[in-house]
Amino acid sequence: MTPPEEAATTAAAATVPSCHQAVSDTTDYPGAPIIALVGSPNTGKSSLFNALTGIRRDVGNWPGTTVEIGRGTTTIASGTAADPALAVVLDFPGAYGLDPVSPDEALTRNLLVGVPPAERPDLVVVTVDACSLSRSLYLVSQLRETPARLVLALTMNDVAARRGLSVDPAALSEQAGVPVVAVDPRRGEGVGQLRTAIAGALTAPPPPGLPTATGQDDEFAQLDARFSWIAGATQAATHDQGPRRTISDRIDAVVTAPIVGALVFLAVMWAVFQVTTTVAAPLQDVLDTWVVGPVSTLAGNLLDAVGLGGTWVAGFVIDGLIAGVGMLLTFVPLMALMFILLGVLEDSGYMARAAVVTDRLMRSIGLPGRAFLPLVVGFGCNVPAISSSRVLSDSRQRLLTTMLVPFTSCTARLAVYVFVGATFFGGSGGTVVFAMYIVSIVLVVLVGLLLRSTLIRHMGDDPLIIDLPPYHLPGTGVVASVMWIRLKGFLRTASGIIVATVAAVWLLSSIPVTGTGSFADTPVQDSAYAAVSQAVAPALAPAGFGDWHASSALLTGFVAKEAVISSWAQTYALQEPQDLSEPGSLGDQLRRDFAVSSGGHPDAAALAFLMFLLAYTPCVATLAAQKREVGTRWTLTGVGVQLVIAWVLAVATFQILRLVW
Amino acid sequence: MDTMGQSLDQVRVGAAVVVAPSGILHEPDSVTARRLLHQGILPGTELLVIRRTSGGGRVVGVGRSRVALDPSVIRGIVVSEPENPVPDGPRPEADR
Repeated sequence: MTPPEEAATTAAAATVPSCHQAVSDTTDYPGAPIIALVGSPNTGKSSLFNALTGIRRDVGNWPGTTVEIGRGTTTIASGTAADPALAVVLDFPGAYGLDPVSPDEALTRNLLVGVPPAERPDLVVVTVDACSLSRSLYLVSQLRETPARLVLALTMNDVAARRGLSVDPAALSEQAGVPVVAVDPRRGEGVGQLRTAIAGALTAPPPPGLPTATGQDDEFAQLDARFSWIAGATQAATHDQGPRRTISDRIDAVVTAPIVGALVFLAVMWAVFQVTTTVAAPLQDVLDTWVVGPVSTLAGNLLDAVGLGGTWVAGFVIDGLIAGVGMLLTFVPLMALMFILLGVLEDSGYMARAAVVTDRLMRSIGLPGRAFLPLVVGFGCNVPAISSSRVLSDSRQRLLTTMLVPFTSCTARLAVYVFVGATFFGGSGGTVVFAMYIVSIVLVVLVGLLLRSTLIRHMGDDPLIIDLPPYHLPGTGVVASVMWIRLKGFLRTASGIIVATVAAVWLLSSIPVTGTGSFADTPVQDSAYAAVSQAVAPALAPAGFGDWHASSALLTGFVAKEAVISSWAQTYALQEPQDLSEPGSLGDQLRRDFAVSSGGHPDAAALAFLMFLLAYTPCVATLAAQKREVGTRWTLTGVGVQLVIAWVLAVATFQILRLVW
Repeated sequence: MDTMGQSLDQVRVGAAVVVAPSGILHEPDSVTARRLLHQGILPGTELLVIRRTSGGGRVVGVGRSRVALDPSVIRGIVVSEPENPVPDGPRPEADR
């Protein structure tokens, strides 16, 4: 298994394609010039990317890596206005410089300067923040040393103006020797001029590039040369007459304060959790009811009308396809809300403060401060939690967080805890449920430590050094378009996986292997699904629940934990209890079977079952979200890790508890 | 107030200081040193100590930017009092 950091640092190797390779492989514009958009984090780079590319863009991981790079096309004013030429724009991850500090920066470095000149982008647009010009110019000072065509996009001019600061594009252009265009991508101002500047620069021959340093002394001299150039250019181009303390400073006095800051952070997390659970739930229910009710009825009537009613085709369409699409649909409001919240938290500048507030606590368990958000959201639902791992700018940290989220106990698992707790432990059921949450937190910490010492090494314990960008009101357009891109990406990946899995479960439970039933008309205990469950059951015997009803419920739980109890009801051909804390005849049946499979230690086996349920793969939608974020290989690795941990935990729980119970 | 050769964690909140020559004690090629460089913090940089954060870190002003630093980072930065306090504007030129 090659960790992504290795993939990124050896990006010049065959596995990671260069810009030209990747673009000619994946777009319809093989001959179009390629423009790389680079810049420090929080310099309005993504807004500029949106403004340049409009709807013609896609955001996803660079082939062979977990580094996210947006791709889109833009028209550049070339020749006549009536004949606009297209250019491909690549939105690189935020980078302060070309020194490879993280895999993201390593990939940026490789694609810009590591590969042979013919493979590099045709032009590099650098976003330069007018509020902190000298810092933005470090990357420019490094790119000036290479034979890259550069255009600087001067951003954040309005924020700078409010702070009594102004940067003169003409003076900066003179200092840098490259075109500089002031832009406000949120309002679309200056984007036209930027296109013209790009077109002009593309026709010019590439600059020769400055001589590069070789020895260590030369490196120091080069560093000195860069900083004296930066200081000179900043001095010449900046006009500053503002106060030193800003509104952002006054807000930060509260938001990053030792105790109040933590309370503000908890309030924000509470709000995010509420929105992704309480607010999303009714919307999800409406969609679910609509799919199960009117849509399924309509499909049934249509199939009746064409003479297919009651056949296996009707079963497949209604219980396979429509049920699968319905499950996918119920995630839409949840994911949309999550993506909007993420957009607001990031765009407003609060996420950087949250990282400062939580850094100490999270670092004590080996995670960066920003990982707090995905883990909190995970206790509501793992699917948006995994997508929210995008708040982590480092792809290694994102990978680790994505692998840990499945161990946060989501609300779908809660229903099973309540039911099993009430069935086996009666009045102490509440204590069992509480204990499961404690186990969940402990698992996140321990699995985190385990992964950091095995599969995801070289995480780096780099101490916190983070820019606190000025606060501003999030732009509705930016938040909405980012939400839409992310939602589209999720649906594209998830649709196939979820619908295929639901259809596969339908198929398995439709094939009769024993008894007298026919295809799509067989009791579940006679179906291929029961046969598979029976085949799996012996593997669970050491954990005390090697019974096919239990393994069947766990198999169904792989699709969705919400379906575990109904699966039991189905395999026992009993009514699902209305109130989960009143298990009724289903509970009696479960206690009898657990007593048999555990050799007389049903309570120990029940706890072992809950441990397994907590630790193994949450649901197929989580896998879809993981595939979207970290790719198939890491998703499958994650499933392996979850199954091993779940099995070991369940077996250990049962074997230890049966000695005392 | 004498701030000669102090590490940044000992500087009172509100003070303006300058990173001393060879004042970055972190390994020159380490990620920490590079990240400080990316934030414009290197010998000769003027820093304004703005506030303490929870956990003992500091928010410092580097020109118009605000950067939050971990306690372990500020202990490795040696600063002295500025010779010509620059009230505003860009960071003074590197003096290495």
